[in-house]
Amino acid sequence: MPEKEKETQDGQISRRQFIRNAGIVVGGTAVGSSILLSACGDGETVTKTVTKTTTVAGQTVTKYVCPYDNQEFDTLAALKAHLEAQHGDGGAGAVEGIITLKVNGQDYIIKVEPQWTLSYTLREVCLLPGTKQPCWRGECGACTVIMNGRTVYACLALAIECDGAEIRTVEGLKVDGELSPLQRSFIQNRGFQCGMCTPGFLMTGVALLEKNANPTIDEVRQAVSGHICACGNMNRNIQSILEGGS
Amino acid sequence: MADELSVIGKPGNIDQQAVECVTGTIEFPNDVYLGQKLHAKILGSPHAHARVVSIDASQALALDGVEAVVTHEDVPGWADVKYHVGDAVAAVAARDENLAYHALTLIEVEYEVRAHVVDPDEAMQPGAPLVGLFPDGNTTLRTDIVRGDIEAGFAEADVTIEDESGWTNRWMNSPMGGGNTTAWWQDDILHAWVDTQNPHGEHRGFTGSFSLPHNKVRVFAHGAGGGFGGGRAAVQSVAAALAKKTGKVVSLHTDKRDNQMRGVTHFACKSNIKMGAKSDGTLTAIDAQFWGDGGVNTRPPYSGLPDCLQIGFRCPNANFKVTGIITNAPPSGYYRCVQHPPGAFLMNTALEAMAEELGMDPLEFRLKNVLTLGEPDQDNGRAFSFNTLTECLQDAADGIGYAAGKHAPGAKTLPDGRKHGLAVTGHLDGHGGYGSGRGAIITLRPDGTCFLNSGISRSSCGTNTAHCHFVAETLGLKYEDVRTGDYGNTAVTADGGMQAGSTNTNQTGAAFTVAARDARAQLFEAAAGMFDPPVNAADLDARDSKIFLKSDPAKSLTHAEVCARNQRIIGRASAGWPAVLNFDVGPWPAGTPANQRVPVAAGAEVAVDTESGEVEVLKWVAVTDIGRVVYYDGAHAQAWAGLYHMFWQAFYGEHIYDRETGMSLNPNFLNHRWPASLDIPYDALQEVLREGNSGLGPYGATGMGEPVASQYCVIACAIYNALGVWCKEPPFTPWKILKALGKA
Repeated sequence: MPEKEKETQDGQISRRQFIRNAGIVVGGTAVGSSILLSACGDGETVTKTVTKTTTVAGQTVTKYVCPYDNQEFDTLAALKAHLEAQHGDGGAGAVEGIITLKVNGQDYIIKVEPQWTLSYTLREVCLLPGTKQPCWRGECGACTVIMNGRTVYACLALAIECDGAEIRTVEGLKVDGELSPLQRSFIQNRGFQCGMCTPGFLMTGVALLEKNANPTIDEVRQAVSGHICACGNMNRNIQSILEGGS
Repeated sequence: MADELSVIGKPGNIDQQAVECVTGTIEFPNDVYLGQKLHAKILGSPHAHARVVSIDASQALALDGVEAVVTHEDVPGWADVKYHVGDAVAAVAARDENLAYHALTLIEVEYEVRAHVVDPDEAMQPGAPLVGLFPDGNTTLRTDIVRGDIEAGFAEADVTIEDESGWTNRWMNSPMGGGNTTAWWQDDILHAWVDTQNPHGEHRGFTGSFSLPHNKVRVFAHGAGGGFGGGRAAVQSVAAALAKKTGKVVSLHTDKRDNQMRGVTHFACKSNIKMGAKSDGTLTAIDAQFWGDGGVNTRPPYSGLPDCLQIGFRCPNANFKVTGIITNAPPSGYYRCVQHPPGAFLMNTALEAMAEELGMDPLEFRLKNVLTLGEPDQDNGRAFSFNTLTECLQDAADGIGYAAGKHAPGAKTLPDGRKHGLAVTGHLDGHGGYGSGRGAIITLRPDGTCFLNSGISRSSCGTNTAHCHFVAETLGLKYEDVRTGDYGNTAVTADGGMQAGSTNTNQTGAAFTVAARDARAQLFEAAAGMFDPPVNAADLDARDSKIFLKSDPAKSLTHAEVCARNQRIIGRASAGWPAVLNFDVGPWPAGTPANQRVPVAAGAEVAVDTESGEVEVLKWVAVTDIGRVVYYDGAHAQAWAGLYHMFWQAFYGEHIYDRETGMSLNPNFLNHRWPASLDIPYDALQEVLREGNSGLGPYGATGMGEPVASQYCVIACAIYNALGVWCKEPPFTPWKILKALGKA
């Protein structure tokens, strides 16, 4: 890749690199502090620290550091505004948007292209491939994630429209490192066959059970009516949710 | 071996892939992360038959982020002539999926469009356009089975019928996965992640396509995403070709439209069956002609239609002929068997018609003619390993209250005005006993636990969990001490064969059983010297992760104790029974001629609204004798899934092509859809598993993947019983029912 500019030695990333690359991910406190320039064919995979935590007078202070010019900001929103204004291809956010997502409790700043779907962004930029996208066209429900408390087909949502959203995926289901009661119920009831539709059923199950801890079987059937299980395991998937409350 | 089984058939054992499935971490081909990767998409032909004259990809390649375009000049196996709409013309690798799709629209292709034919009836006519795969027509005729004297058989008959079916539906397998690949060249070594039912077959495909030595290909088939027979990475070489051209990781994801334009369809078929019987109901002659539409597949998978039609019912005089037809439609292939679902459909509807002609109860007529245990195969003379078709038919009948509820066709109207129908059908399914050899490797670990490794895929229907049951039982380990290691990784496994023909549980299972015996012999030999005083290995037995003296079970060592001091125990085997059983893994000795059958029967009760054409399934009981239930939860889940698939075949599955253009009209999950949660009559569906315990597989097991999905014919017969009018063109949608009633 002769024409491609590499990350500079001091950790700075060139503006050109920024524009060429697919996304930036800002690590929040959940899993450590890192920035990732995601690989999407053209780019390099680079991991950068962008949050700086210091203790001042006994208080922990977190600053958000721009990966390009090392300026510090008090909030993620301020860093995002700075990135858009200074490093976002003339700030043309509508064309090449910088969005923030909170996925499974972790903050991300991602530079998305307008045509990227949420499922693509989760899988290829956030590197969370648990969200499957078999049909890629809103027909099967396997890509279902919870966005701001509601289930959505991630393959039908454009990432650029999800700015600021709080998203939960199958990767975030474990509780304190342990499988959740719903996951355990899916195991006990063998609520899976090939495993491709399973993450979607799980996310719809989570959304249902959080609103209704003791659903009837008809309520579960209604809730998962937007999902396909081609292997033919629907009865067990439903039973898994029915018994998955706790 | 302990007399009583300690692991096999016990409820509650957890599937080996459970945690991967519920955490989303099962490794499907597109889930592999290898740093920067390109995304590939395929451009399909818009014409049903055309030759590519030229391809100009310059505009696509000019897009920032588009790295390569490949055509028939780059991709092994592609030709310049395209034989169906969607046939792959070019593929692009770009930095994201949308860009790849966009780039496809910028590729300019000049075609020389040729005449095509999609309708199989039309394809058969003299002068029809040539599909282009045969030089002088679109059909192949072959006589498959000639038995006895057909003329004499009809002369003997008191009653003859001629039963003509319509075309059965053509449908797409439509698994959730399918057709996905991630490929990467580590210098000259190809690494490929594929979803497939046949990992070592894909491995061989890559070596052939790219002229590679066998040890320069590594295939990883870790997650399949279903398959139902169609799970072969038909487009795998595309990603590898793009990866080679770009020097980067290339991930090909085929969305459902792609998949259905190019994937495997179940073939459509129709029949004309002449049948003769004596007035007491004894069948004397069957003269059957079949037509099968193979799409562009010139090696028709419907060639076994006569086999599946004839094996269950006794008839000394028979002729079975198949006319194979090719059309400019996607290739036909396998769906939960090649020919059994439609074969059982055509045979059972003809039997139903004959019973009526005879004035006999259709169940009684079937029971009179069904082959029973002890009767050999009518054509090769071999004994069946077991045959409980009679019992299966009776169970199915009892399951729907047939004896009390039966009535003449069209004779019963429900209080709400709908017509009521009952039927029982049966079939001697030919699966579960044959196929290629299978290899298996078991590595015992220092703590006495073990890993299972095999080259077969993980389509996740529970078969690899069944293998663990065999190994645990044979090695005397607790189930939790046995785990699958790596399946489908061709560099570290023996060829595990193809996950096809319902042979994974019993045939790969046979290899694992033999491998476990190999490991057990080594284990007992090592253990014998550790007893004080030393004992003979032959005096030992094992159960619940303990090795003990048969004569004094209190004297025991744990597997962990033995393995801690003997850390190199590996059990290996290859096993199979292409023609004869090679190992005495079950109740049958090695050398037994392999004639495995799986008896299946179904009973259905329906209510048909003659105004709307809607059919409601009130009860559908599916009975399968799988020899031995190995993985309890998996077997029952698979049996219910088979019922679900039959429900789909009967009421949903239909892939429609436009005759004029050859275009698929419903290549998606919306219009060619699976029944969703609100469509399924849960309370009506009931799976029943019988255990004849005498299959050829280990511990008497057979396979079940295909047999459990072969009885949608029962719905056709039940609808006939309700209406007194035949509807023989599944799926039985309201429109088809109204058409049969002369109302549409």
